[in-house]
Amino acid sequence: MLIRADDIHFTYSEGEKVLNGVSVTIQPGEKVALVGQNGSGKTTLARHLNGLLRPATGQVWIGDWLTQDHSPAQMARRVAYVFQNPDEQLFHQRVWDEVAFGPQNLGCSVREVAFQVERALDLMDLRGASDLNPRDLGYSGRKRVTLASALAMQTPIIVFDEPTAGLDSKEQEQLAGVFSLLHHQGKTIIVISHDMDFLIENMDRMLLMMNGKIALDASARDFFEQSRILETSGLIAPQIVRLSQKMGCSQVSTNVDEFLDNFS
Amino acid sequence: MPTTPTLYLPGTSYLHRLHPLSKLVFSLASAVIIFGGPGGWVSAFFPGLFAMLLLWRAGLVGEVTRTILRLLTPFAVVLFLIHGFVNPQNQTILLRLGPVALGQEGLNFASLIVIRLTAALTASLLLMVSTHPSDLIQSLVEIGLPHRLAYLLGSPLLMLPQMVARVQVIQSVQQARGLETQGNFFQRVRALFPLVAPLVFSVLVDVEDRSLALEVRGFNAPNQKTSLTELVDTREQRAARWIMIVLAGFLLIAGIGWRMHGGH
Repeated sequence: MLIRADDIHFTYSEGEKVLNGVSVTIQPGEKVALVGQNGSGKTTLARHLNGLLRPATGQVWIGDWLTQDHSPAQMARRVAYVFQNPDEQLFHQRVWDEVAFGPQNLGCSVREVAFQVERALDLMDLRGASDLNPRDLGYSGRKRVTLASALAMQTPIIVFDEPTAGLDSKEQEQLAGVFSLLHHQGKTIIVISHDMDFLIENMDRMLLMMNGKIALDASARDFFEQSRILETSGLIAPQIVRLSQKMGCSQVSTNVDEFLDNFS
Repeated sequence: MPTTPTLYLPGTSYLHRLHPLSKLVFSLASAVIIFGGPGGWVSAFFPGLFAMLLLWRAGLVGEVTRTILRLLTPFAVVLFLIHGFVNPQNQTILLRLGPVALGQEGLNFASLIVIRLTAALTASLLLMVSTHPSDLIQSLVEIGLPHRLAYLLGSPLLMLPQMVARVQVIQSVQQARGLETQGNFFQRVRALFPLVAPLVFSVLVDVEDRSLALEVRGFNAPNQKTSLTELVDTREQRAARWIMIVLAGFLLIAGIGWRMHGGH
C-alpha cells in the first residue's frame, strides 16, 4: 500500500516546529528506516502515518485514505504501530489474549483471530508462553509480545519504534527474519532506530531526519557513503562501514561477506 | 514483575458455570438486603449464610473463609475495641479496666457491623472467586455497557502489578541515592512522601502513552468487537435474577419502613 506525505508541517502546542515541510513517498513492500538525532522529528513523522497526529498543513495518504479523514482506530486496519516501551502496550493478563486484542477490536471472526494469534506467536517464538501473564516475562519477552500483537493485526504497513532496544543478538536475528518474511509478504516496514548495525543489514532505504525535514533519502549503501552529512547529523556509521572505509575499500560494505569480497 | 493479584480461583464447579450476571445480581441483591433490609442482624445473617452454603457446595468455602478472616480480623478487633470502650451509647458495663469500661451496647453495635461486613464480603467473594474478570466485563458489555467503560472497570486490575513494580523501582532509585526507606514505622511513613510525586507524574505520562497504544490497536474502531468466549445464559437464570431483584427491592422497602418505626 502506497504511503505519500505531501509537504507536511507540524507544531506541538508548546510552539516548537517539529515537521517543516516533509514530503516522501514509500512504495508498497519497502523496508524503510527513519534515522536522525533525538528530536529530529522521526517519531512525529511516524505518528502521522497512522493518524495519531494530524499535519497542520499538508496531507498524508495511506493508499486511498487521507489520514485526516480517519480516526487512529480506523487507521489501525492499515497501519500497525509498535511503540518503544512494551509496558505501555500490555492490556491483558495472558499473552494469547494480548495478541488477540487488536484483531478482536477490528472485528475479525473468531477463527481468524485464533489463526492470526497462533501465527504471530509462532513468528515471535512465544508459543510456549501463550498462557502466561505478559508481565511475568522478561523485557525482551514483553517486547516480543508487543511485536506479535502488531503482526496479528495483519496490516499492510507496520511501524516499529526502536524494535531492537532490549533484544539480545539472537532475538535481533529472529526479528530480522520476521522482517524478511513480512517483506516477502509484500508488507511495508518502517523502522525508527538508532541501531545502525541492524538497519544497514535489514533495511533497503534510509531517511535521515534533520530539523524537521528529510535531509537525506538514499539506499542503505549510498546513505553511509555520505559521511559529511552523517557527521553533521551526529550519526555514527555501522562498524562494517567504518571498517571498509578505513581499509580503503572502493565501495561501502553492508555486511561481512560483502566486506570480504570488496577487500579481496 | 508480579502477576496480577485477582481473587479468581480457576475451576469447573456449578458456580463457575453460572452466568456472571446471575452472580453479580446475587451479590448486589445481597448487599441491598444486608444493609437495607429489616430486622438488623437477621437481614445480614441469612444472605451471608446462603452465600456460604452455595460456596460450600462448589467446594470454595475454605479459600473464601481464609480470605474473609485475613481481611476482616484486624478490622473486627479494632471495631470491638473502639465500640466496646468508647461508644457513647454504652450503658450496661460488662468490665471495668481502670478509667475505661467495656459496654454491652457498643459490643452489640460492633457485632452488627461485623456480621453485615462478613455477609456482604461472602456474597461478593462468591462472585469474585468464581468469575474471571474478563467474563464479568464481557457480560456487562453484552447487556449494553460501553466497551470503554468496561475497560475502565477492568483496567485497575491490569494496572496494579505495573504500579507495584514502579513503586519498587522508584524506591530502589531513592535508596541508591541515600534515602532511608526501611526501619521503624515513622521512617517508613516518612519515606512515602518522596515517592508520591514521581509516582503520580509517571502514572500521568503512562496514561497518555497507554491511550495512544490503545488507539493504534483499534480500541475505538466503530465496528462490533469479536468476543472469544461464549457466556451461557438460561431462562432459569434470567428468572432467578428477576426474582432476586424484586426480593431485594421488597426487603429494601420493608427495611425503610422498619427504620421509620425505630428499627436500626
